Amino acid sequence: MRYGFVIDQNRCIGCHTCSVACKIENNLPDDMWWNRILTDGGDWVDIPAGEFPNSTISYVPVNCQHCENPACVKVCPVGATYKDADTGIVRQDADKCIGCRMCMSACPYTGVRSFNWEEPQFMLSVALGAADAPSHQKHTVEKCTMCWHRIAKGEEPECVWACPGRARFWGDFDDPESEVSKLIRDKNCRQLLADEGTNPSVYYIQ
Amino acid sequence: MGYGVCRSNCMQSCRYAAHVRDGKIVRLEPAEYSQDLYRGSCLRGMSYMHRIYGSERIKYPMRRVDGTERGAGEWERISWDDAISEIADHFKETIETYGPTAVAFTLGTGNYGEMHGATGIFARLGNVMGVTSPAGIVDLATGYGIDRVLGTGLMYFANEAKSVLDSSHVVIWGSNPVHSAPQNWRWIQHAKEQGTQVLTIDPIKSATAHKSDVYVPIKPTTDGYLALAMARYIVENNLQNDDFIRNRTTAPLLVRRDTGLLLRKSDFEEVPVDPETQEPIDEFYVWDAASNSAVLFDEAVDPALEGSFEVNGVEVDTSYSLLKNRLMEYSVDEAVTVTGVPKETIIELANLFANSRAVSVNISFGMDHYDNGYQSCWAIAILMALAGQLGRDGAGFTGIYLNTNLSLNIPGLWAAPGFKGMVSNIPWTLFHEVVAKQEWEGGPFPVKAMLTAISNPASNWGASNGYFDDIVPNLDFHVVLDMEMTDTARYADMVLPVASFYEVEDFRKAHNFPYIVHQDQVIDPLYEAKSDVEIAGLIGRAMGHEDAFPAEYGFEEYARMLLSGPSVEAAGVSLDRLREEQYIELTPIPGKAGIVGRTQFPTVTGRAQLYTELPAPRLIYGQPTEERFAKEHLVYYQESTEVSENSEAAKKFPIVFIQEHTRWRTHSQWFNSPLLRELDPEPIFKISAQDAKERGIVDGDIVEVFNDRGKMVVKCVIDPSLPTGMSRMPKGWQRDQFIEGGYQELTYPLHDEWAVAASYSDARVDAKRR
Repeated sequence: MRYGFVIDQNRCIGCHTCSVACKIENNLPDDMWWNRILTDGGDWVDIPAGEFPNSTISYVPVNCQHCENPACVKVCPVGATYKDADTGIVRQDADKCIGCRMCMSACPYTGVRSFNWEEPQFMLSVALGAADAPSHQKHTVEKCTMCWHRIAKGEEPECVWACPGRARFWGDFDDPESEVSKLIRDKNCRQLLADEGTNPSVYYIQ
Repeated sequence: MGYGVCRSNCMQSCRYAAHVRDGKIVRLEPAEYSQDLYRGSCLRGMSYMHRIYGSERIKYPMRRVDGTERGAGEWERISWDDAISEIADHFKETIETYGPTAVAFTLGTGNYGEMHGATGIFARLGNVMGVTSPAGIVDLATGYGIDRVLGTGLMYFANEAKSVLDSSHVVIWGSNPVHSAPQNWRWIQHAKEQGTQVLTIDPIKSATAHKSDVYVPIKPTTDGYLALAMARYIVENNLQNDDFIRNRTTAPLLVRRDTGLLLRKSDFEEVPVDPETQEPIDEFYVWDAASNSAVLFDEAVDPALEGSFEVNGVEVDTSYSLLKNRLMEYSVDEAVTVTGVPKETIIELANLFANSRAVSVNISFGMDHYDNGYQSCWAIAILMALAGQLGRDGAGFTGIYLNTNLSLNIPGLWAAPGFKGMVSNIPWTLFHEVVAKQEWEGGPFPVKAMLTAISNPASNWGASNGYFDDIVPNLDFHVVLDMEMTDTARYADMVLPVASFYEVEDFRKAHNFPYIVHQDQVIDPLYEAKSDVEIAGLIGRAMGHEDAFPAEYGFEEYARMLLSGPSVEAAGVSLDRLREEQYIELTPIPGKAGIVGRTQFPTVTGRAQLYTELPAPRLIYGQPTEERFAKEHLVYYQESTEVSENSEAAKKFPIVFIQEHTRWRTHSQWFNSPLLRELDPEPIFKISAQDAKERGIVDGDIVEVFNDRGKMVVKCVIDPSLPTGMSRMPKGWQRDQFIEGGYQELTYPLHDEWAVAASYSDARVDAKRR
């Protein structure tokens, strides 16, 4: 299997609901976002590029691209980051991670990984999200797990169900009959930084 | 786990499944509706836990420390018993000295629960106490304008959101659903994928404009002129929908030249009285071209749509002829100057309205917030009537759908033992003057004590200095109920902690969705928070109104009052059913979208009105009305007060100032959500490239934005969405989040005397680097 996402940028309205859903479901520490919405336009969130009235803007939701050929796995000295053979999900084992951050520098998709420089802090005293949400440890790298804990229970990643624009799709690219396989066959799709040779499992409909 | 429905004032109604662990809500997930595209969510609704458990939550009753200034921020914790007895003492003393109307209740739209909202339990208390409750004025110009044509009152003008799937074209006119109504935009996006063309008319290239097939820039507040020029082009080029005009509008009704009233049977003979309504049964005359004589409408073979006639010595014109004469005052050529829209675009748009299969105009409150807002919306409704783009699948307005299939028994909730009624004809826009002068309608009118619930008036007061200078210092006592320290709460004498959406049971007749939806009480109120139902009961009993608020009454007793009566029974809605099924669909025709005027419009004649026989101000409070009465029969264009480029204000303040709705807040709610502030940390003023250049402003500068009313000091960003001469500022930030001042100081404080609706954005400013 090769699980992954298709994201329809025509439908995406940049609302950050998926980011918020991810942050809550995985009980992410303060200032950490595994799934971020980049404005493809000006230098500020929601500000377009160009000149009135011909300005342009679109949104690129970016989380770990769960590459088929992940740059991060090759550089990890301790095998903490690895590709799950059954699902194609790129995983990060906090117990093995030594905090060297080689994976962060090797990954071409800036910002999808975060490093806990200090003991993770939480704005609420209530632990949010799933009971089996991942823990967060000082001096380890973390990133999108594709909601491993949900997939294990037969559920979709939280960002998919949360999306009010119905812009996110998830499934198995190895199954030619899956919705995501059909989408990448039928729609004009791209991968981010395709020439890096990582073959990401996240496709963007344009 | 429990289920609930988000109830903030975004005019949408997303359901959530609330997952509970160890007695705490840990996750809110979008919950299903019977039609999947109504399942919705947003970053605010989904992160509501951060308002429940956030450190900003008001935890217990607090009193301003004796001897400190209002707004100084020094509070002491008090018990509920002390709080309630102190409130009752203040209110009783006020009532004994000045009468009950010297107590004011300011209730708003912070909660759309039927019980915890503005027409719920606190309205019951206000009516029993006989207080003053200033009349709501926000978001009412759109409906008031459209009502002239469709008779749909203030809020019932729109088709159901999903009706756009049947539209050949969606014209988004002055609204921005991508940011402010994403649950409506979802349907538009799906329509677009099916081939519907989406156009946006807006002075700003909004997020929605960026998503549309066609963007038509227009000078701000000139939309009404554009619609009238298009209407004229349509009738002048014989593009109008004659069938619709003949069968669905008041075109043939005859208007008396002497009185301006419609020619009726009672003009010539006695008419019977309906025994039920006691209203005269009075039919209208039309000119029958077949007999070349005036006959009653029902008897006409071929009612003349146009012409001037004499009936028994009375000179009359058809409504349609009068409208066409009025339209001749507007032209496409002049529209180019007024609106800035190129001639060929205006003609293309006119043809689009005239020739397309089904046009939906997505409208909301963008045009509403100006002194000419109702004329803009009235003009668009007239355009749609002439083009026949109303009252059928895919045609009509969309944007603010309210279901007409169910009327809750609000009088049943209000009519408590001891009912006195409230003084409710003072517009909010004038209320600060009333409090300052302690006068109303030319006589003394003391207002000494105030209770604020479900609202944040200080933050939403057009030109907010009126609130801080006139209201705050002139009250003897002000108690505020809230979850968080809003601008209003900060300047109160006492604050009471209220329960959140998920700490009470409630239900809401959904906005924009065809459902009535239940809210489980998922968790107990945190800290010492209490529900509005409990607080109203405590105050009511302390005031001696035990009959209206018996100690044993709770949500359920009051809910059964609301859920009673013929409409509720006919719809088969009950509290038991809501508790069991969680939501009940109220679709008028199963499988079909709710459409305004599918068979007839809710007007006197059942037809769309081209002529308004008896125009009336939305709210009568003693303003002069005679001068404009004659003018109000027929649609016309009026310039906005400040925004118009011809205004006095334009000479001094070159930049139009809009307070936009963004995804980060619903009005002022979520202003201090710690989660959302990670994404949207601070207020940003957005300026056009040219205006920035002329002032030496670069991206990220701190600027002072000012006009004669006030100022704010804030970070500035150059925004290519803006034409030269326009600026925008996301609304909802509280004053202490600015470097100095606040955006609401700058907004326009008055209203048009006929629409009596808040015109916040009819404002101009200038800006300089700090």
